[in-house]
Amino acid sequence: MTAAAIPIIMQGILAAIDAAPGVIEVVEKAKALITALFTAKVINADQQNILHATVDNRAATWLSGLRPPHWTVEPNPS
Amino acid sequence: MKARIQRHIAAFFTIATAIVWLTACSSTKLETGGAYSPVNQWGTNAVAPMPELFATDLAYDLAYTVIDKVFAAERSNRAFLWGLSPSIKSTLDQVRGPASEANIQYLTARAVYLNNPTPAGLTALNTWLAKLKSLANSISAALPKELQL
Repeated sequence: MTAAAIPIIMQGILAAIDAAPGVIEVVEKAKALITALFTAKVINADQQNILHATVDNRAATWLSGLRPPHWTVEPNPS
Repeated sequence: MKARIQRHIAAFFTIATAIVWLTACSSTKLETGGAYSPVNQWGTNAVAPMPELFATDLAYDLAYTVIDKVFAAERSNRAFLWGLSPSIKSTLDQVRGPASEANIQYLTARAVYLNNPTPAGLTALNTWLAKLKSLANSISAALPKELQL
């Protein structure tokens, strides 16, 4: 990958990510992380339960052998 | 376009910084009755509260989400991005395998820890979390230094 190609590549990735609603989720989780670890706020039961359930559900999927398709290497476009 | 890219760079810096700076915080306070501080029928803690597991799971969820969203965005826009540069897919394909393995190892270690919380179990969790963080940072941290604005 040439150095000149990388900016074009990254702009392409950013354009794609910008079109996806997931970028908001990532930023919100980052904010929640910083708040939880670097403030004196008590983590309430609801917050704990949501996180615990999220990771539990993910474990149930992954440890059963299932994979989201975007986590697997697929053939290149023709 | 430029302003939007700059906002995304700022967002990814925040994410990468949060991931890198994260450590299990012993001062994390958990409300009694939550999943990480469960109570018995008498309203007292059924087991010792697990603020370290909460902090680790929180960091894990962020790292997983960063990786997940980048993979999903590439796949959703594959034809377009392939036309832009085949290197995008090939670069992410190199991360897909290690990321999947690290994720499975983290979830496996977590199941072990939940069954029997020990310092060694927490160390195993943090080992795989560090791997996921590294992979998440390699995806997001690569963006700012190479972009020419």
